[in-house]
Amino acid sequence: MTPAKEERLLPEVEKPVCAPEELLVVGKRVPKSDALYKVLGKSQYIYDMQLPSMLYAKILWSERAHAKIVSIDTSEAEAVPGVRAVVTGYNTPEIRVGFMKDQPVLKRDKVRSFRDEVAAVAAESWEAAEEAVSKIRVVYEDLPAVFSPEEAMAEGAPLLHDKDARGKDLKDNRIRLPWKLVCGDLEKGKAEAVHTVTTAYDCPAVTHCCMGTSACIAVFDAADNLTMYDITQIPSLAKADFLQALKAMGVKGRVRVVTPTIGGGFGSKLDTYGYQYIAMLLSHRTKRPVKIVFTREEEFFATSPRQQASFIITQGCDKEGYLTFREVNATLDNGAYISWGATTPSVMMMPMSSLYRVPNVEFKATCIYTNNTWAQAMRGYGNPQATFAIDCNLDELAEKAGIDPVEMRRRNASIAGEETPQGFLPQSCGHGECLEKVVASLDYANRVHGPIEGTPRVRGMGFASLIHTGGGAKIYKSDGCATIIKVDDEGWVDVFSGSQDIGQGLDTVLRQIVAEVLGFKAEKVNVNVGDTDACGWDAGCHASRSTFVAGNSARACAEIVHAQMVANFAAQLGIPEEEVQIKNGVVTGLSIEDPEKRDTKVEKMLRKAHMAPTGNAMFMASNFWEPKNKLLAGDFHGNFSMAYTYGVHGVELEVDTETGQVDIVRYVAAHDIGRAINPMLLDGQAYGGILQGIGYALTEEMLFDHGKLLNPNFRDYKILTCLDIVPIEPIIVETNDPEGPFGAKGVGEPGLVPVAPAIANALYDAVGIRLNRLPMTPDRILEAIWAKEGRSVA
Amino acid sequence: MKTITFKVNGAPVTVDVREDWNLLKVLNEKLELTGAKEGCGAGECGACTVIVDGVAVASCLYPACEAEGREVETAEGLVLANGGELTELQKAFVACGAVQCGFCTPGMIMSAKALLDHNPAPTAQEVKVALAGNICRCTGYHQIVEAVLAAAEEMRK
Amino acid sequence: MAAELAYLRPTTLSEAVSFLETVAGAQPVAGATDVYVGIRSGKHAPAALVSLKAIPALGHLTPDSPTDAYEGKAEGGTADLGVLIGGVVTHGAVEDSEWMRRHFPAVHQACSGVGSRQVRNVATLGGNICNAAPCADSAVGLLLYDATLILAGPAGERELPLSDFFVGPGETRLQPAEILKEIRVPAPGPRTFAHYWKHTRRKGVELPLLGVGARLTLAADGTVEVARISLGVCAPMPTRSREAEQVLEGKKLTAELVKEAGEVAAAHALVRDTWRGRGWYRREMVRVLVPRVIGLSGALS
Repeated sequence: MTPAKEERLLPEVEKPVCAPEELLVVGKRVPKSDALYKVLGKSQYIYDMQLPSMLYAKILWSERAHAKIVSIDTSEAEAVPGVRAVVTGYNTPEIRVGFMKDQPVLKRDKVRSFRDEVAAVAAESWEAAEEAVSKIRVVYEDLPAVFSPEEAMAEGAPLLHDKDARGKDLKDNRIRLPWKLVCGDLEKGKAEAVHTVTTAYDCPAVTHCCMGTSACIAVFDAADNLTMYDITQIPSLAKADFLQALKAMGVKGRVRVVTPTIGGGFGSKLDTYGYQYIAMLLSHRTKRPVKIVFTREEEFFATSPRQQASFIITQGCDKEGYLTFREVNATLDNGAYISWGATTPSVMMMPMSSLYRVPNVEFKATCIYTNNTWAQAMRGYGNPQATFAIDCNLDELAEKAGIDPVEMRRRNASIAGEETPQGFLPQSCGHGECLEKVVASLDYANRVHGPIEGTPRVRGMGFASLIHTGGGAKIYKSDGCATIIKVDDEGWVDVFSGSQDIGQGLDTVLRQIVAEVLGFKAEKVNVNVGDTDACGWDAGCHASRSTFVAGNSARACAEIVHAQMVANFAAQLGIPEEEVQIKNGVVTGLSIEDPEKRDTKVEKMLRKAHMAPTGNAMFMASNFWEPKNKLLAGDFHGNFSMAYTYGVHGVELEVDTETGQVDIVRYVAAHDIGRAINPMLLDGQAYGGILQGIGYALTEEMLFDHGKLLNPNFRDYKILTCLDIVPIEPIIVETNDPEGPFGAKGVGEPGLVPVAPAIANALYDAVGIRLNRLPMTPDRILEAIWAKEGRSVA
Repeated sequence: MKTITFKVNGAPVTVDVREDWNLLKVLNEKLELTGAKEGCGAGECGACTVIVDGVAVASCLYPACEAEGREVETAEGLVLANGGELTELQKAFVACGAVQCGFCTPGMIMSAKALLDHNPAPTAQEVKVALAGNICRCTGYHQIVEAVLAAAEEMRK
Repeated sequence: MAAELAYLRPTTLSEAVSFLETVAGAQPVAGATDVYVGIRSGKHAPAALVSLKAIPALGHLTPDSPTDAYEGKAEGGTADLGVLIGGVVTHGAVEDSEWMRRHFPAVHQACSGVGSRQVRNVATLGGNICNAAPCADSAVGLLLYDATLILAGPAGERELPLSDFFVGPGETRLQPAEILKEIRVPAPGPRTFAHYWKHTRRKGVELPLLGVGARLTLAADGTVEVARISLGVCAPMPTRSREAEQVLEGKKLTAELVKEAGEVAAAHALVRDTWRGRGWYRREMVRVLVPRVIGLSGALS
């Protein structure tokens, strides 16, 4: 039951203690900590790593979409010079992956997609491994295959999986996941609606295109302890997965996960993959390090893309345009095996319930097995797909109700302190402010609109909003992060964080936060991530949680160290603790008048502390910080993040009505991120996320023919180049979240979330066509323009 | 196998190569210069870009034997060639936020250097044309273009 | 282990021809951007590569006149001089040539849009033409100017119009051990207007979805003396739309006339319907872009 509006408001929050002017490091455009190595060409990526006596491994991928494996003959492969081991599902212990454990890493009995791993070879060189793979003879017996949820649910459709991982019989290709969210009273909302619009939307798979392809090196020491050199976004969770695998292999060793520099993440490395376990199996068998590196083609067809989703959405509003209900049914093509793609509905619920204010919501999602590729996480994790449906449909509803699209958003904008129907408690919310800033920057009131005289081009403007978790996301029972800090005698600080830098600059953000709290210069703070032996636990670099959770953990840990130092220095100086200031690496006794004794370099004080005649002290601390968010209850209600990031994007574009091509004239994106710890890195997330979003909206598509990827390369998968960039104005809105470190919230994903609907809405404003399927390519746009004129393409 | 001799970052090198190798493989595996990387192996992504005889090339498609007698420049040699100092391009990439995961960075810098070596005062459009063959998935390119223009301006002073 | 591929570097044309004749499985290579990709994908499996890059006789990009310097003679929109393009001249060399930009704008535009700067720095027009992809931008540009090819082989040299060179996708009339020595482009004459447009899905690193070129040489009274409409990816090879050219020749250019040329070119274009691009869209783009490219050439003003 939704409480009355007055009861749902939270008490007024106090502003955080420090004003921007007081900060020395936080809020500054500090360059990324490892940028120097990268511009020198000296950063070490996994591709550059060589271990003594290392072997190289290649995988044999399935040649069928759906087939029984009749036999696998590896004898010719084993005879290739330089080959040291060949593994299949028949000569290795079974290891299962995916949170529902429906996938063995090496397939036995059956293949269910073109990216199934059938065998693998470890050899002395890449060439030998490739040659051996080409000589493995597999006999398949074809099975009928299904390539869409409709086909998979049709009568008589073949079953992909006969049983689930617990051995229970499966009767059809539906995956038993409980994706249903009910908020308020849908029937009441429908009854109150004066206008309603129902639309169907289709979002296909797109892929991360990390410039660094998937790769790992597995190596066991003499006591059977495993070290995985791995480019994972989830070091702690991957370690747990690998420990489970060792158990299945009957190996009693421990696991250490070490990450060299990562060449891009974007969510691609949030689950473990078959290739990692294959490397482990080969390494254990050969007693040598084994390296696997994907080619670009493999990266395209054998890694998990963004989850495809189809929606049927109905929204209704009263005569003033205030939303009264939202009803959505989603169907997801899950592909052959279950990974995080099947959980994207849990995140889709967030915009479904809380993007704009809508009191009555029902959202259902069904995931269906097919013989297609299977999805994982990708920047936004279901939010971009859901927001496309919601924000495009909202524009249609606005039109039906006779309300300007900007005004519609103004009226339904989220409000700080108001609990949303799903139970989110946004203590800071700059949704309205973002909208006003974008509208003002684009000068919406005076916009050029309609055909451009003397040309076939037409101009239009469109908007869309976003909400995303900005304060962690409780998807496991723990959403915490551990930090360890130590300070040496020379004033060098080492920070060990369980979190991960995937290029976004988490290393730099933590450096700034710790330096600020300690009062040290940023250059003296060294941040270490990506080694599970040295660093503590973290839920992983996802959900845009790292600045907030890892940042808060680092802040809390630094505060402990700071307190230790202040207590010790106060005693050294003979003054009360309140009078000790550490700033820019200098300790000042504020109440000391003698200028000779007032300021001391912190290194000097640290050495005196350590080498004191008695009471020798060094300063170090640890902290495990768990956000106070809630694991969603069975009904999916609860405050699953401690803070929410909001934003509005606006785009002005021109459509060439003769070619269907779109030119973005101006793009303005405002994000409420609480506080910008580092505006330069923040801009980088905006520019990068928006360009990925533009690709999602206009050019990127994985094209399949009966399950086989047609475009596994940069030639035919249209990722955008430097020549494709458009004028983008990122606007930072700071609402100083009371829970965020220095008021900050996360921003890794928001930049991408509303891009497609903003562009679709601008397209409608320009040429009056609604494209409900992504990408909105020139031929689809032209076809729609013609359809409006009564012309057909035949 | 063939023995080839060429210059890399100003220093002569002599290497034994298979005649069907590309220049990237020689740089990575024989000379331990791993800044240039294989991002696609098909000359489409630019991560392998180095400068040969003054022009930017995709080293994954450049025959190793063709390097005989030529001068190759890679990102690792920029500081040495600049009297031990970071070049303006390198400084600008760091200062402007043009580096995130960094995989594309060495290739991107070499493409930019090849441009500035021939055209010290490029327009933004000319910068984009020069960098069109270097794909970056992280940055969205804005800060990269900004860095190249900033470096060019600094170098003209 | 696969047998090692030999890489040969002749320094004269006759040495190159001799290698191609005598070394089993030898294939010529210039920039290697097509050949290396072909080897990696399994499209080519040569036993030896004969590099043409070190042959001086193939490297020239010169105006075709034995005596006159061009300065002062050629003015915007006209050219009294042809050009000789050696077989291993790179797209980058054409892109950087201010002279080519002014006097053979369509060839300049076609070459400037190929791949990326890294590709253009090594990839050659000769290689692009001999690779004979239906999209070959440089060929589509050169067809506008009635280019001829000089082919050198064991039997000596011969001349062949570019428009006769292509047989099908990836197939040409090149004889065994023959090398493309030179591309000869005659002077287009005064009052020549030309433009090349590459239609793509994004602005960088693209093979064209289709390419459209137009060249019009006008008589003093403004009637079209020579009309050339060239198309890429609208047939199994780079081709001219002679039907569209016939619509234009001998007439004065008007908006209606160029529109008709577009309709006729579209009606006769042999476009394919594939996952890379739908047939109806390609055909419609021919219809729309032919008049546009004529407009962009400046011929209408």
